[in-house]
Amino acid sequence: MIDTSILSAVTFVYFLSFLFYFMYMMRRKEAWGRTANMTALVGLVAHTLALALRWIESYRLGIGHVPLSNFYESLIFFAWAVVFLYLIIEWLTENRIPGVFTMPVAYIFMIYASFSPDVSNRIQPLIPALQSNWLIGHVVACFMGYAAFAIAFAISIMYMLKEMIGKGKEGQSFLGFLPAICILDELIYQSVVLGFTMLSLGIITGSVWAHNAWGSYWNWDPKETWSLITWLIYAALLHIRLIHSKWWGRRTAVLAIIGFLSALFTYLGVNYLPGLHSYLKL
Amino acid sequence: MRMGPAVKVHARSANEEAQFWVFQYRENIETDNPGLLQMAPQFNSSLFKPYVFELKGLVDRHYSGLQVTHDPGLPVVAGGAILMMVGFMITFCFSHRRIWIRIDKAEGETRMSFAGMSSRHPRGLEREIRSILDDYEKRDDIRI
Repeated sequence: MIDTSILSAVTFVYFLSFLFYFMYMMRRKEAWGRTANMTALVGLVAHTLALALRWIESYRLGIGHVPLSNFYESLIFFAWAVVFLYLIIEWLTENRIPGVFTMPVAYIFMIYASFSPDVSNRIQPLIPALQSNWLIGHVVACFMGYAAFAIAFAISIMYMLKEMIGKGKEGQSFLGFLPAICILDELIYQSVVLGFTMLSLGIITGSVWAHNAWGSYWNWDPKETWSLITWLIYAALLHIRLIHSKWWGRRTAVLAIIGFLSALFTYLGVNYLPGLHSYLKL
Repeated sequence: MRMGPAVKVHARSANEEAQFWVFQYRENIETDNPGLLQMAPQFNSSLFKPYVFELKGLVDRHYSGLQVTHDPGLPVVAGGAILMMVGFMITFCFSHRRIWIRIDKAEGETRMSFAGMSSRHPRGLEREIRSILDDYEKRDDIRI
């Protein structure tokens, strides 16, 4: 199938883009940064095209549905959302360094989708429980949320590196080239705000859908419970910052890392628990 | 593969226990797929010795499963969800900033002092005050 071969190429392009970002960080030459950005953009366009082709292909097979219906498609869409959001953030903040830390996240998810033996890349019919117009809204909102949290996580890792190893050594290593601590803190905060809003929207659309499909808006299914835990962690992050400025910076970064681990468990770990959301095994 | 009706039998005596399937059209399955029923012990209808089970026939009965929910609190939950999203939009998109400008006289000239407070983003506040100052900087009748 043409879409999966494009996606394999995209995986490689993302890796290339990561290398360019890395070179940019080491060499501090704007040309590397621009190349890295262009490479990521080309990858994203091809990625979008592959998703569109897959959508069209599913209609040609007579089982037309949006490509968000199984584990493979969800991983691919997650990687897409990470790159998409990252490029927007890069464009808004005019800072290319977070690319070194976010592109690998997209790359790892693409690799996992393409090469893991338990992930099937075939286009399958939509199982009856998912046949609903809520599918797009719910899944897109949730995955945009996860992607924003992934970016907050990547920037938090940058923050930790900068703060813990780089103390007093600015200018000597690549760490001196990382953005200032207060810019990183603001970037983490902005990504978390976006992710939190998206996750809330995802939970709300999910509960409306659950009300229609399962008869109750909240079933305490493992995925629902873990999405609530994730939501509470990020809610704590946002509120705690209002108490005192000592909660800015490192503590915010630590909470963003914990929150992303919880989001990852909501996305992947919950599949090992029995529950209503067990579609990803298909 | 259609195998026709079957029942699952769970037989138990004081010291023995067995679970197996008993097919109604055993002979047909034997002729269509020879050896299939011997492949696994759970298809062996004489597993619970000395008895041999046989399915003579089944009477179908139709039934419906109905689920009824009644959620009087639903409008409250929906209202809460809408309120929360609107609240997010307000708190996250419009952070409030207050900027004070004090004008007084100092040494025969007019002095303007700027001060500001922000609910979030101290950097955004900095930028805003900086942009106000930049506007004044362009005029040569003003000293900064």
